[in-house]
Amino acid sequence: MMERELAFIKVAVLWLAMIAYAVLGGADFGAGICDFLAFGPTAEKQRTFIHRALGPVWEANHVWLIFLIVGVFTAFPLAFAKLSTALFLPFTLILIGIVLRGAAFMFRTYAVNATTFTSVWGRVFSAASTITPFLLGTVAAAVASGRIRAHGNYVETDLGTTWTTPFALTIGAMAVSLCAVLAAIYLTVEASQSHDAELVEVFRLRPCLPVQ
Amino acid sequence: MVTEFGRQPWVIYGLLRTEDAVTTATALEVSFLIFSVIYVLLALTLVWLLRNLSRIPVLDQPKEGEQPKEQRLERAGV
Repeated sequence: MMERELAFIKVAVLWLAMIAYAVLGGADFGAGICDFLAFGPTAEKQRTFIHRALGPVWEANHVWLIFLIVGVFTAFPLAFAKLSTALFLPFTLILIGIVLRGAAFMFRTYAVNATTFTSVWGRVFSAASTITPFLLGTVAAAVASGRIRAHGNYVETDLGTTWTTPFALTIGAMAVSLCAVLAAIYLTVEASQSHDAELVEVFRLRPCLPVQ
Repeated sequence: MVTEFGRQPWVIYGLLRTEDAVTTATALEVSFLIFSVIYVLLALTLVWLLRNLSRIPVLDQPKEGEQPKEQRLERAGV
C-alpha cells in the first residue's frame, strides 16, 4: 500500500515538472516555430525580436527536461528502460533536434556579421524547433495509446508502428501548434512591453493566420 | 577503470548482471556514427567561429577591449 502511494506522489511530482516543461520549454520551441513562420515585410524584424526575447531564458527552460529524464530514470527505472528501448528512434531524433537547436542558436548569436552562415544556422534553429516538439508529441501519444509491448524483459526497438499512427501524428501536430500559440502569446506581451505596435499585431494574429 | 573491471560481471553488484543490462535497441552503430559526425561538425564550426571572432579589431581606446565582449554576452543572455 505504501509503495503504491509513494508511486502516486512520484508521478505527481513528475507530472508537475512535465507541465512546467510543456509551458516554458514549449514556448521556447514555439519561438523557434514563430521564427520558422516569419514571413512578409517584417520577417527580419520578427526574427531579431524573437531572438532577443529568447536570449535570457532559452536554455533555462530545458532544465525541466533534464529533471524529467532523471526523475523517470530514478523513480521508474523499469519503465524508463523499456520506453527508451522501444522509442529509441524518436528519442534519438529528439536529442539531435535539441543539440542542433542549442548549437544553432549560439552560432547565430555569436556570428560576426549577417552572412550565409547566420541564415543557414537560423534555418537549422527554426527547423529543429519545429521537429522536436512534433516528435515529443508523437512519443507521448505512443505511450498513451498503450501499444508498446514488452515480452518479458525483452523490448523491441520500434521503427515506426506506435509513434507514426494517425493518432500519434495528430498529437504531434497538436504539440507543435500548442508551442506556437504559447510562444505567440509570450511574444505579444513582450512586444507590447517594448511598445512596438506593429509587432504586437503580427504576433497577436500569428496563431490565427500562420502564414501572413 | 578498476571499479568497472573489478565489479564484473555485475553492473550493480549482486543485483544486475551486465548481460541483462545491455540494451536490446537496434541500430546503435548507426546512431553512434551520426552523433559523432554531428559533434565533429559542431566542433569545427565552433573553431571557425572563434577564429573569426578573434579577428575583430580592438577598438581605439586601450580599455575599450573589454566592451564588445560584454555586449555580446548580453545579447546571448549568458
